[in-house]
Amino acid sequence: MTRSQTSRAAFTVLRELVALHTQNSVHFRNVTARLFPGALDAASLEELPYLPSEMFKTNALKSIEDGDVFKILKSSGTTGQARSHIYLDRETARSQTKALSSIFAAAFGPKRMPMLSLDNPGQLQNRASFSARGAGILGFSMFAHKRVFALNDDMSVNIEAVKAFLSADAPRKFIFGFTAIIWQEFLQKIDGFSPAACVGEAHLLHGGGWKKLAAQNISAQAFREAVTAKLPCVKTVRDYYGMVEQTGSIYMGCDAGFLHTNAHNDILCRDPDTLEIAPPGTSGVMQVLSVLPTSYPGFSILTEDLGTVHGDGGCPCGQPGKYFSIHGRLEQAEIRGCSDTYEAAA
Amino acid sequence: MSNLSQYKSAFVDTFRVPEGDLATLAYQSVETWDSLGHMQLMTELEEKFDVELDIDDIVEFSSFVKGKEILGKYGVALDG
Repeated sequence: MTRSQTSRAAFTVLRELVALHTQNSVHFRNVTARLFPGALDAASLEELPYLPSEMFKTNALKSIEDGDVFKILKSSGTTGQARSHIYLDRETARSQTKALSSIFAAAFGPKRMPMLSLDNPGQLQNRASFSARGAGILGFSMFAHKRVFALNDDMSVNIEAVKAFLSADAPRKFIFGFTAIIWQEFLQKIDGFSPAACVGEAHLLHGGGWKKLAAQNISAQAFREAVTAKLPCVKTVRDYYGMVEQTGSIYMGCDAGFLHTNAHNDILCRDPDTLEIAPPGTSGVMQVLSVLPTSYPGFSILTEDLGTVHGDGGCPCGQPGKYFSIHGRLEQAEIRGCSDTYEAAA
Repeated sequence: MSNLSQYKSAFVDTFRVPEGDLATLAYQSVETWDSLGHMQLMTELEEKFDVELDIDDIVEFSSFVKGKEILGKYGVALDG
């Protein structure tokens, strides 16, 4: 399928979601009635209604009966910050897993790889209530096997575990972590490994926000270089963009360093002052669209993230579809990413 | 132990459910079969039968019954 075909298919689903949530969510119905009177007849992606991400912190946004709530996801946030609450039923939870698996397999192939989690096992201790960080680790663990943790519970590096992972006999390996934690708790603490210490090639995926590294003037390029300098077996470094409000339909980064849309999502960039669509190549506030949410009205959200849509097709990596970058957050926005809310123990 | 009894014991041991409940057991039908439990089950089955399941099959493995069909694709016969 060409991009325009996938985009149309997604639009059809998104328009059905407008009708579904208008019917089932009183909050959604009230907002769209006030701000998007023509919502049910939207003729294009740009005309679809959207909710500000802030609303998920201040309201219990649900399109299902209380008895059908299967799981509540909470955004990461430091003490004192408001957190989003996302209500899932079994169907939405299941479609999230399916979407994430197909996006993951498209990027890394259908075979599961051994996994090194650049985090500590404590993130998965309480299975009834994971942090967004724990949910991220667990989500990607589904598509890997023989997962080991690179850090101990006190955030010191478990160097023996890392060595054993790197030298294990497997042609392809998967390394996952949150950007700021990888930088601060792993790369800064280890000496580089020699190529001889590594068997096979590794693929690193990281996400969870750049703000913390951007504040230290560490670019994506510098991050990538630091990773490959310390872990010479790492052949690809990709990041992803996603938020708890749209778990599953993440935007995967490519080798050229851009984020991409896929069959499960779409993206728009709006002028922060007028909220009109920003022309390609200009900076604006990002609106994320996902075909997955049926149990809560989160299929179209105006984020607080600033970014640029560079084009629809034409990414140097050769993939079709929209490609974009995220630069930061609106100034008044609270800090909130799995990676950015992480605070080192004093 | 036959393949089928090994298959059953993987579920009984991982999810702490009586063997009589297995026929209708499905992902998320009991508290212990959540995403964490799912991975424990996959690891257990992969070790018992010496197979490596693809990502698609991990996601499609949605019930006790469906799992038999999936393992069948990897040459693990579970009838009888």
